[in-house]
Amino acid sequence: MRRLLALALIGTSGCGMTWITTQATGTQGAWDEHVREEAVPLPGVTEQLKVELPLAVAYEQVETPGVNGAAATHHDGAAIPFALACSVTQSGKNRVFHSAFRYGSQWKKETGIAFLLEGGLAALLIGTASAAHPNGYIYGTFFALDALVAGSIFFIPRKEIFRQDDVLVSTPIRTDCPENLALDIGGERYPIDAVGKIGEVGEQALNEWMAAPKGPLLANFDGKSMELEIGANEQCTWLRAHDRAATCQPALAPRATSAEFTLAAGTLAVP
Amino acid sequence: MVRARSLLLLLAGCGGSSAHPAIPEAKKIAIEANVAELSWYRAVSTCAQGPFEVSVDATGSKYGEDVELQLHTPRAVALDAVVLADGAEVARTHAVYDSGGTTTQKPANARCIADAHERLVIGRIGGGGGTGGGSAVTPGTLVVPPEQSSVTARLERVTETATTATSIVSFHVPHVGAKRITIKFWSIDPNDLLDVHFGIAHVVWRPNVPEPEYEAYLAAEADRERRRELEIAARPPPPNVTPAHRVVVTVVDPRVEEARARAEAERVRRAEINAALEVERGRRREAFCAAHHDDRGCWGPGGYQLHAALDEKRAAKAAYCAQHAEDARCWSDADWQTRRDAWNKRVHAARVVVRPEGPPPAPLAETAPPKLSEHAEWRPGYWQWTEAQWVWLAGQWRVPEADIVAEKTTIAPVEPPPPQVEAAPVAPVRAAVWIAGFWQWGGNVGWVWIPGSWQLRPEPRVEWRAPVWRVRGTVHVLVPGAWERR
Repeated sequence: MRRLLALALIGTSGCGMTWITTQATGTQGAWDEHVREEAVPLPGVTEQLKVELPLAVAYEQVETPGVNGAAATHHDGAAIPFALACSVTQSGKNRVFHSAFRYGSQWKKETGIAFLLEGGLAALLIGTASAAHPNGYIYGTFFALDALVAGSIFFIPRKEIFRQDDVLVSTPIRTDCPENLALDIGGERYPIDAVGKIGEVGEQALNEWMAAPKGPLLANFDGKSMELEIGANEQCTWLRAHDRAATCQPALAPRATSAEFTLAAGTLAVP
Repeated sequence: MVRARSLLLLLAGCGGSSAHPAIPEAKKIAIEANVAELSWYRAVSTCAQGPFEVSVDATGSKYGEDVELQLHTPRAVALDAVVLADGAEVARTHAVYDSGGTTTQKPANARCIADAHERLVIGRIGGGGGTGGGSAVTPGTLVVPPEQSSVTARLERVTETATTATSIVSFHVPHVGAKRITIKFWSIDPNDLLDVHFGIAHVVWRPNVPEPEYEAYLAAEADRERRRELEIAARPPPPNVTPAHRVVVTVVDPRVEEARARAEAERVRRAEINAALEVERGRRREAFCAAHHDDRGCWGPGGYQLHAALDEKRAAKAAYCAQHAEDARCWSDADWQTRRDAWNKRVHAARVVVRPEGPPPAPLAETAPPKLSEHAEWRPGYWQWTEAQWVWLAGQWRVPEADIVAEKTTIAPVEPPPPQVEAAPVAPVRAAVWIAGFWQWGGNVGWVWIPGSWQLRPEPRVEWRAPVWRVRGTVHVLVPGAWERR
């Protein structure tokens, strides 16, 4: 049983066995050669502006060098000031035209080499095996069989592959917060600057709102609003991070909440 | 820096020379620094940001003169200073200084600046620009509306001399220089100037002998130098030393040289043949491929038909991109770079803290209202640099909690009048809390109404406890308002 298992393991590394396995499992058994691909953008690209409001407080990591060969230790340093995170991505589809050869000249070269190597190895193993050392017969036979398979797949005729796929493409554009972006806290608007800051007063108002939410918490871009969802878990995570006296226990501890705007292409891609 | 150090050494040595007996030796004639003036000042207010101004009249010394601002401080203070020569700026500096010179520490001025909570209010109220609008107040303090008149930040002269000092800024006035040197200094936030002294040193350079004697000495020195140069010119030139030449003999074998030339010519000929063959092969292959559209070796999978179809797709992409410059899939490296530069510029601008270019306006005149408790501390008003403008932040009393607990607050001999009815203005921010006004005992002036104001909670879930007057026997004791946890 153990030998069979070993054989199976070795078999998966043999050229012929590998090919048989990939064919049996329906995966591609040979690589493409002389590939040419042309991707044509399809119309209908959109831009996504994601605004993320961190709920927890992040801290700078401070490294303290170890003494007398001890490993360095890390601990929390100063709190990283509050800032929203923005990211702009363009999403669209490409129609990809793919042409290639399969079982081409490269395939012939490699299966030919595999045939010669495995055949030689099989001859060596069988030739050096004896009744006292019968393992050589087993492994030699395996490699001989694999060499036969490698030799036969050498003759698979070259195929031409043509394929056309519609592929989703997502391109990250920028990570600064764009102009005309604001946070509406309970009906009051606080502009968000390029690095995601809402100012001292905005932070205070947000803190107030989190303690006792009144009205919605919205990200606003160019007059369009999206709600930043604050449920019990989000609220509790915020309070625990910003108020030492908070006693609530969140069932989950989400690190952030976010809102996403879908915009016409080019809205935020202009320099 | 060297000049500053020499000046300090000189100043330290002042007055000490008479203690040593004079050594009879030939005095070396030289230009020496002479302290024309060394004055020490302190700010009238121990919490102040300036701008302060000190002027010195230049003597017009033909050997030049120096003016230097010095600082003696027991704690870190921030200072901006400019030197003006007849009104024109000639030197500028900005740093934080402590007793050891410049430091990377923050100024130790907690006593003099409003805390973050106090500053929050002005962010929304606006005002500024020297108009006096936008005052922030702390609940429970008497608000004195800042008068429109401003007062000059004042320095007063002190008689004691600091033994240690740091040079802040200095300026060397050349012979034909300015007539009046002014040093203006200030800080963006008020400094804690308790026991801080500012020194103005005016040093005049002149010879240590009478002027005619010095002129004669210079003439003699010039003459001596001229003669020395003539002597050097009259000396015979040193004998020429012939350097030892190294002779390198190279033996050239003409047969070897000929063989090398032949090989080189052959190599060039081969290269030319191969290049011509390559061109011809390419031409023939092109001709062959043009005539054999089905040849996969020429055209790849699908032959010429698919090759041409894929070329069309490539052209379709180019056509799409020509019409959709906004699509990131069409951007070249240069397009990306242009955009990244523009966006990075915004980020950089948002990160940069805009420093004021000049000093704050002169402080506004304000009167400290009656003290609220025995140990209450008065934090004077000052100009706060907020969102690239100066905003006046009114002074206030800070009442320690211990005074409230011990009832060491204001005591009034009579009962306060009924509270006034106030119409609260529009809240500066929705999160603001209206703190109603109350009566404060002003001693000789009697009862003073402290108007209500909008405030922000210093932390979440705190409520404002209004101030009350408690009866204690025959008097009334103020329990100032405070934020309390719910």
